[in-house]
Amino acid sequence: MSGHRLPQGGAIDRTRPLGFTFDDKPFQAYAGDTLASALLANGVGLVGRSFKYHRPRGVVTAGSEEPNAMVELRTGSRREPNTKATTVEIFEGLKAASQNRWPSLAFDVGAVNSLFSPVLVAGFYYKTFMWPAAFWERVYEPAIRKAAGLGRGAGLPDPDTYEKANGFCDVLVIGGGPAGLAAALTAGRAGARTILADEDFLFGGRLNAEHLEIDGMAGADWAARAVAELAALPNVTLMPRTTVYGVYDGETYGALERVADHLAVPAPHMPRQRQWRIHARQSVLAAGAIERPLVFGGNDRPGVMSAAAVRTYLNRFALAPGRRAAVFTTGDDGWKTVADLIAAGVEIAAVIDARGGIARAWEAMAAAHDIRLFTGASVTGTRGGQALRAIRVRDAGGRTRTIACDLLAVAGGWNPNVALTTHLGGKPEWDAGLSAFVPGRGLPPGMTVAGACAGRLSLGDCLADGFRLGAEAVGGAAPAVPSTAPDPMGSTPLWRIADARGKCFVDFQHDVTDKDVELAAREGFRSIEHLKRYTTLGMATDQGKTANLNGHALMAALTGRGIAETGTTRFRPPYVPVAIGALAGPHRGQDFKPVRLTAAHAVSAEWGAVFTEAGLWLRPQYYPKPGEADWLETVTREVKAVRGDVGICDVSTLGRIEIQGPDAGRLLDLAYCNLFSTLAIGKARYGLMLREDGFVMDDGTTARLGPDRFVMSTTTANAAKVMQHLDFLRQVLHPEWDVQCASATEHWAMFAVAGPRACALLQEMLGDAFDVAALPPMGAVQFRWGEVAVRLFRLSFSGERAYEIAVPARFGAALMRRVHDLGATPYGTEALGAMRIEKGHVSGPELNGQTTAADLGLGRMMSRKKDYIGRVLAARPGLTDPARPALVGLKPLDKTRRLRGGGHFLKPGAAPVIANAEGHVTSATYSPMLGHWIALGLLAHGTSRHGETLLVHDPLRDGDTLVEICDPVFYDPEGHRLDA
Amino acid sequence: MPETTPLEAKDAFADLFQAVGPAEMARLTVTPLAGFGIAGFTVRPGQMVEAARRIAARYDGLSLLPGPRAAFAGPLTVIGTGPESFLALMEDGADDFAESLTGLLDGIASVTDQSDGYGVLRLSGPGAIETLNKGIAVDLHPSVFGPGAAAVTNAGHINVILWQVDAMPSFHLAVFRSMAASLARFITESGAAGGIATSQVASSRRRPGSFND
Repeated sequence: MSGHRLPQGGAIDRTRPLGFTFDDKPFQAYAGDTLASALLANGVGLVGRSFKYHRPRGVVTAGSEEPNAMVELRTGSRREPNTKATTVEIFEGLKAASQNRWPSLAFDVGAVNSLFSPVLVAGFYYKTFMWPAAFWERVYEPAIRKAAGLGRGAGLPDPDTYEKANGFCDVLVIGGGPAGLAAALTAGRAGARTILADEDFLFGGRLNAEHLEIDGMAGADWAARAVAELAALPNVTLMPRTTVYGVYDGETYGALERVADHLAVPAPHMPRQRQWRIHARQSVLAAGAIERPLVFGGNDRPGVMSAAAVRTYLNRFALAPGRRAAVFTTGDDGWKTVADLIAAGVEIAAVIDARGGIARAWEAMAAAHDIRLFTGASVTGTRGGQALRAIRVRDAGGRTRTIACDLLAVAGGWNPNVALTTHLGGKPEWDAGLSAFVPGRGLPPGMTVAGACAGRLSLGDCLADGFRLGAEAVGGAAPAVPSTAPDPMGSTPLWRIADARGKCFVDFQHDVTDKDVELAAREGFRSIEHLKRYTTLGMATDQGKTANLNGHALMAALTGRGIAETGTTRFRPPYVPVAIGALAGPHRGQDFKPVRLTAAHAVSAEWGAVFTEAGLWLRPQYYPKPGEADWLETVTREVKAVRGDVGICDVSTLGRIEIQGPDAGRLLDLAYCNLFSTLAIGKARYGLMLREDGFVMDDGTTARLGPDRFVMSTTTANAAKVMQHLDFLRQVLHPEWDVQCASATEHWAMFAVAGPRACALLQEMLGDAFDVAALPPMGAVQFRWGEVAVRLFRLSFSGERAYEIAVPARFGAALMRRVHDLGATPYGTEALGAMRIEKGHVSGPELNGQTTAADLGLGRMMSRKKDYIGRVLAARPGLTDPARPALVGLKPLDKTRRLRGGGHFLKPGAAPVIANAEGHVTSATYSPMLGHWIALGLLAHGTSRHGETLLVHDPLRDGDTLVEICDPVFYDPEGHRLDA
Repeated sequence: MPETTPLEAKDAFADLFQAVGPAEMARLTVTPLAGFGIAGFTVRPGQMVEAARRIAARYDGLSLLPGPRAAFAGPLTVIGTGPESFLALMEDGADDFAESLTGLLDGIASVTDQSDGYGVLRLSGPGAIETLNKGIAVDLHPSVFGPGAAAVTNAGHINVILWQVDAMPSFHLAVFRSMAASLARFITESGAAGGIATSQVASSRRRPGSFND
């Protein structure tokens, strides 16, 4: 180690040294270190390069507000960019790398950007890349994209898993500093279900970072004791490493738990991160405050650091971030850093207090330790290349001098960390006494704000708030607050520093300077919302946690307004960046969405089926056999088997809705455009359903199984929609009707058994249970086959003699196997589709939401004897226009040509423009029975154009094909085969 | 010769669960249940009192509870799933329970056989709640949920009906049969960190002294 580590103290475990590398150089740290503390302990000050100017940057803070020290972690598929070194818990073997530099961190070619900084100002892109316009796509955009961004993503699938979880509590305490611990103790002791979440891996916040005493006990010890007490309470859940990142409606909070980020590789079954949705009746926000930087020349140089962060590194991590320090403060808080530096034995080159008069105690402290003190003074510039070497100080008399130092601790005052209070629209209010924004009215429901986050910064106030609000949340009385020493927090804001030399950064992460703010003001972007968008102030991944107020105060001064009047922007969730992987949780890859499998899925899989997605369902598409060259050969075999013998198709995915009650028939008459109340028991009928706007919604068959009992089948795609539609009709339009609907899709496994041998096969299988031959066309029957309840329908989609047989799903696999064993060929959706096109039956591509019953040749189904949904609007002129595209068949003139869905109809010779298109091809298939491709289409005046030759224009695939328009029924138009 | 052997039944969760870690350490025990006769029923307008009377008379005083509650009487469980709508589960009743209930409620409720529409699981052990809450946004804490509480909700985008059967705690979970495999993956992934023990598929044998339908 380089000797920056202090000989004793700190919340680190010196018995557990851990090795890590930064830019491939090995270093050593201790358990309890962050990457930032470990680098500082090893004397590494230069950690990264800035976004725009590639300026050398080091660690500024000790928390998640860090704008500078962003690194890449890990390697290979676990590489992650833009991680804040201040939040990374060190582990053995951690590999970290600097980013946004080439070829190396110390020598970065991109730093040449600094030379162009006079032109790289706010609005640079808008002003520069205006012309020539043609350059945008090929020159400017690629160049900008190449330069943009900081770290690199892994570019590989993430090997880790992510999880989601729901949490519930009476009281959610956000932040585990003194206020949060006090609130959790009160709520927990009262028996309330309490969750205490803190983004740090160690609870205590400030108590671990400073010399504080509570009831005569060291602050860190008090925190440890509080945590031990909380851990022992069964109603309290401690969530370290958990950032509450968002507040949402319904008292819901988003939180990210970094379960395994502090491990090289997660343990088996352990997720890397867990995304929580916490439902909390009450919340106490104890998120603390963030120290403001000061805007002076070279304020971004490595070695310039938040004064509070310096205290954290001295006390919690037992390291001195510099050997010769200066402190630049605008208030009493900076003097705590002076005291801690003295205690740690660090040489203090100077203290610069911007205030004219300061407390006697501070003057005495400076005198006692022989420290050069400048009051009414300011730091105006810094020197040093990649590390601070000296500061330029302008004293009260206006004289400047240079003071050598390698650490400058800056105490610019505190900004309450109000982010979560604004997520549901709350607007922070300006507190003139504090010179900061505090939570305003309109807090999220159920939220109270405690301690520093509410602008009550001192330790005593934090504890008092925590105990009081914890008690309020559970309706109890606040306990006595333990005693604390005075904790002076007074400061005088310093927004503008006169005579600054060099670049004065306002937003470190986005390289926004005071000059950019001035430019925005000059060019009229004076609203803070315009300022934000024009300069990108506050738009970096830190959302301007350290930058916003300084920028807004500068704009206020430039425009002669007060800060309250100038206002501030609201924060949006997430409070810190959340990985997309954590938001997706387990829902990726095959678990992206649930999959629905039919009862006989495993049987089809065993037979080598290729499956296709239909909504959430997987359906067998075709069943290739060894030796078959392609799907077409397979499908042709399957079709020929059905038409020549018998086949079986799993149609369990079709929706089945049981409709019962005295008014079941009335409901069906309302829902379908054709009549159903007259349907005989034991019979099925094809039905067509329209939407209210008159277009076709769905089709299917409905069978009557009893006087008050029907079973409807829907298409696979519309099963849920039709169920919802029926519920709407009976619950909203006709609540007075006595009719009940229930989905029975899942109870039944259903199969189409089709082909000239279907009847014989089923008879052979069912034996004496039922006389299959006696079931008439469109017959529907329910009977027992041993213990198995069977529903048998004589329906045909293929045009063959066919049955649909349904059994309870637990028998589905066995039934399919049995039918197969009796010689039926399994066929999938491809063969099903080929046969329905041969028969001119409409399906999904024709039921596309833009077709009427008449378009599909089903106009005569629309009853004139009754009312039904869609009747009135189906009569609109636009829906009855005879020129509407209507269903036709088409055959290629050249029988070797393949047809495809989507091609447009043109008269031969017509220009291929959309105005000349007369319709389009909806479904195409190779017809095994005809030996060439056939298709269905929707063609203007289609029914009167059979025999006409048209061109199918298909420019994206294999070009254009001349076709003959024909009747949509290609095969067995007389329907003889239905009775084969 | 026609084959006359009966069709073999396959349970919804057959072969879908495997133990993770040693059984004695497992925080979650998964027991697929089978053999339930399951019937959904919606009481017809104005018939709630009569339906409750007939059910109580037939099934050992079981009371039809409005709202998301599960009522138990011997081998029968009835869960409120919606306004006037219930799901009834009878142990070992897959072949005849729905038919029997249809007869009992003739004219006053519409009954639909769902015996094969759902797969049913028992999840028990100290890790049951944490596992379920990885996908279910319902507070299952004993002070809020508890035995007899029920919810029609979803677990990791999968629709489920959940009810608590005892304070161990043990929960029963009914899921559409087609999604049993997806639910099994969700439960396995969510419970694996704490270890999973599996019990054999338990056929819900009717206990002595049960109802004669």
